[in-house]
Amino acid sequence: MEKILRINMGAGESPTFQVSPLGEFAGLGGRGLTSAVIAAEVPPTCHPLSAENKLVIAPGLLSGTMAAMSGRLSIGCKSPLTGGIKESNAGGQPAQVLARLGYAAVVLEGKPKRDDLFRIIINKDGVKIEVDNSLKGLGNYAAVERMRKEFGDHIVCISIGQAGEMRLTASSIACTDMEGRPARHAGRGGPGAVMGSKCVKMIVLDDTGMSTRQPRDPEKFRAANKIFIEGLRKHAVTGEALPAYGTNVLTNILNEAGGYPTYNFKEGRFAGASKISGETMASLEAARGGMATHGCHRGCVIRCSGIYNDKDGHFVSKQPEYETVWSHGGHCGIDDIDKIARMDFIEDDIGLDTIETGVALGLAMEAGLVKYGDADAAIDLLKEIEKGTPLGRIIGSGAAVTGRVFGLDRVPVVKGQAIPAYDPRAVKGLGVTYATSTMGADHTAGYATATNILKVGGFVDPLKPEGQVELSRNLQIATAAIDSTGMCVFVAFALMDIPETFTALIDMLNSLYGIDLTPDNVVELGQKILKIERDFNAKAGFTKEHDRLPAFFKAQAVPPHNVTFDVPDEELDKVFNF
Amino acid sequence: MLGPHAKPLRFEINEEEAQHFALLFQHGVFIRCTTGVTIEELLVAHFGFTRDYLEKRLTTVFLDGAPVDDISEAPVGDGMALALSSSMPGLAGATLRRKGTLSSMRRSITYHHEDGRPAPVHAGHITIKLFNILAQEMGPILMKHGICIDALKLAEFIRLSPQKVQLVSAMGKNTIKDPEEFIRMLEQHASRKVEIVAG
Repeated sequence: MEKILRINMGAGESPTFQVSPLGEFAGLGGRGLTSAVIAAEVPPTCHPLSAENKLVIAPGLLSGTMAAMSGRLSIGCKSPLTGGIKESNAGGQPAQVLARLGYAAVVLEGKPKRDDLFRIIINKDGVKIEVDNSLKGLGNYAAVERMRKEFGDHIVCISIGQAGEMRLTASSIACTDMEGRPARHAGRGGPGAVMGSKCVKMIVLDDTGMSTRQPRDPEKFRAANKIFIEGLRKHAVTGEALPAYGTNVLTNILNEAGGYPTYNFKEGRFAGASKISGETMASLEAARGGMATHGCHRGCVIRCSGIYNDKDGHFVSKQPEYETVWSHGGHCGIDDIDKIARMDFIEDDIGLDTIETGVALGLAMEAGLVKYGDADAAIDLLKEIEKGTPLGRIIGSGAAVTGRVFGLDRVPVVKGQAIPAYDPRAVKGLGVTYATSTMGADHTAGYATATNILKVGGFVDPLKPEGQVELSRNLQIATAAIDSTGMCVFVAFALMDIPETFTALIDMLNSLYGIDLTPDNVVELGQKILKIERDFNAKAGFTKEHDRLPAFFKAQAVPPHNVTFDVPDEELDKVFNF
Repeated sequence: MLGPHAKPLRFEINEEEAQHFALLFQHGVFIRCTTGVTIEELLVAHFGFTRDYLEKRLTTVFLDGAPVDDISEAPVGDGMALALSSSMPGLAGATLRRKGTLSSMRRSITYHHEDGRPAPVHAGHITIKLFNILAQEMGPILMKHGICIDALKLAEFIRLSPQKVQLVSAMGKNTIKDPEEFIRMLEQHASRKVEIVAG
């Protein structure tokens, strides 16, 4: 994994490609690599859909090895949704396959001058870039199915649906899972629109004939991986809650805490929460012949995904994530889990970020376009997106655009990106991360990971009222580093609670590359990534005024706790003081 | 809440069937118990859980929706709602954990004993919600003490859980073979509570 594949989609009559060494980007992977390339090579003030923007697709440092959980793919660009730097990541198979093919990154550059749609085929024999206009207008499922018929079921796909082709700013990039379904998405920030602007519909990956990446010290690597897996399996979150119920296990908890944003952040509890909870969903999956425990890529030992079937046992969608269930559930006042799963599938097919789209649907309800709780009307709005009608394009452009078009003043976005499923008035530390993240409102930007072990910025006493800013800073630094490894973010809990699991992760990196990484180096890497991203955003025009939550979070108390977001602006401005 | 003169319909189920009612606990069930004692006292002395179990498994606790850090200091008053969960994912999940390193991130909603109302010790009723793994582990034990739920909520639970209906249909003296008949009976008593006891 020592090379970068650069594909110039705007070169002359036909796209060209070149393979080059990592060079100045050596030692980086995942988010570290995507952000470094974007910062170094993309003008911060460029239009995100212009030829100057680039789409960087990078597996993590551990991807393609036998390391458990290492199948996370980072996709970076200048975001058409936020206007800032973006790293959006996804599970599925592509990270492992791309890494086994030897690529640390695939970079799509330029922009074709003609109106053709392309597919890119990457295998051990090289790279082919072909016009395939037959893919135009297809959803992700149909497009992937066509590729599987042509190349076989063993291939892995990275694709966009109609939303990406239309360059809608809520569009995602789909990655196929173990079953070849385009169900895992790099959704946040509209990367699908950038891929669409490059006129690339599909990237087909085939690692036939390639082998697993071999560590410099196989014995040490194997031993570390074993400890790492043991840590994940014995932890209550990664060994029990996530496998049994998936991420939607959070619905009941956030609802009980009064932090479950309901009816567009008007309330903190949803009366229908238990109807759409992870517990209910898992029960239905088991009863209907689906699956409540399932991995999204090979090598996953947490297996937090699942297969959601209808009452007749037919596939509806992969198990919707908590944030998806929330954005279409409590946020929209919908308590029908079958219809939420149906919307999850439709959005996967069209290629839409389910958080951004769900929040936009809720805003359409807030505006009175359709009624809260009307799932069928919400599905109809999704079909408008698929058809590319003016209304559909508005919704498909995300929450900020939808709110502006319909004249709303309660629009839950930061830097243009929809706030996800956790009310920042109830969990204020999360609000600090929403406000200050380089990515826009992002619940994974400052994940609950090993800051206590890393001692990022020193020890923070959890019992003292101060510390929201310090905790958010430390979590953002640690998460940026973890995002570079290719590790699923859910390993964070075991890293936080079981010191030897964290040590095992470091040992895997060291034995793979023959290096001597320390926890201090991990902190330095996280800080470096955030500084690169922050600097890019500053040059793109972001100021401290962009590091704020919408005013209504300060002004409107949310029941049942009747709390507002009261972290002072001056405190928010200290997050990046490192 | 149960009124002082409410007479719930009473059903008994076999102990091994209790597991199939675990999902019921996410909606919240009423339980008669000693109120005014701390969460720890209630669960240890009244329901028989060990302190070791509570320490290891009861990692997320809410009292009337407020996250509780110290269960030995939080009294459960008559009419209060107690919700229990294992460790949860996500930053929010970690934040809501008892005595977690990130607990200050939700300090404005945290339960503070000094802010609570005095809770005299007497027999009363509380609402208990059990989520995720804890519903499977603790639910059957609580059912031995008897749980109460609105008749209509139970009817809806049975209707939405077709795989469990067969188990509901064999209930001691009140055996009802047909689940639909049971649902109809519950709907006829829509304003009543139903008490279920695992024997």
